[in-house]
Amino acid sequence: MEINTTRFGVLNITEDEIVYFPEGLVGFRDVKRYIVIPHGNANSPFSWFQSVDEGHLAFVIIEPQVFCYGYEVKISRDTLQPIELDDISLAKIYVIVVVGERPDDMTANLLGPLVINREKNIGMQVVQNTDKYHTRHKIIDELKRMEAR
Amino acid sequence: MLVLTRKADESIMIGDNIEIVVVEIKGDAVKIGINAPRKISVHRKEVYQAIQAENIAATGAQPSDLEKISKFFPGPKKENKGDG
Repeated sequence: MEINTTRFGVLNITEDEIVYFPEGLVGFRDVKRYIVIPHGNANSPFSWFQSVDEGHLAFVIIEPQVFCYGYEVKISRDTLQPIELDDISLAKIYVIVVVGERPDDMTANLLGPLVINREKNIGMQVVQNTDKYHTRHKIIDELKRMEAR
Repeated sequence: MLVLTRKADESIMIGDNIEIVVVEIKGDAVKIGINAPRKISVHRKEVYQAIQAENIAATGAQPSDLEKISKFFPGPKKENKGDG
């Protein structure tokens, strides 16, 4: 199928590329179908989480372990029921990035990760009940912390 | 908004299967217990709002925004740094 996007023009995608978020994202409950588009060349750690149905809606995402050592999502098994997953360690995890004017300003939301059941291509945004993470981790600072280890 | 007065250990039913229990009252803080079906998600409001605000803030990104930061990352995804 063809989808029309603001940033990437017309994309030809197949059904099995679509990740279904039955509950949408927080604040975007009605937008339920997305595709993951790797950004730029293979060296870029970023991907785009592009809505299939809303061409203008796309989020920058990144796998948290790329910049945050030991990142973990702590939630109960019951929370994962909507995406038919028993074990969080089998999930693909992304976090949403907010870009700023300068690289130093770029933050990642480690509190509300996207958790995806890869086999079934169903996902959800998890709201964690933890003090360990918040919504605006500076990626550059986390990278420095990781490299210092 | 419906306002009800409750004491510690008293509770409120919402529909048939959601129960809100006042567990403890201490100074200006109230400890609240919630019994609800697993499919009902329960969050502190400020946490939910913070995540919603970040999601909305994230929607403005353009591909060109990412070029500046990519160089800070060590090498290709999931591979070793090489001889650096």
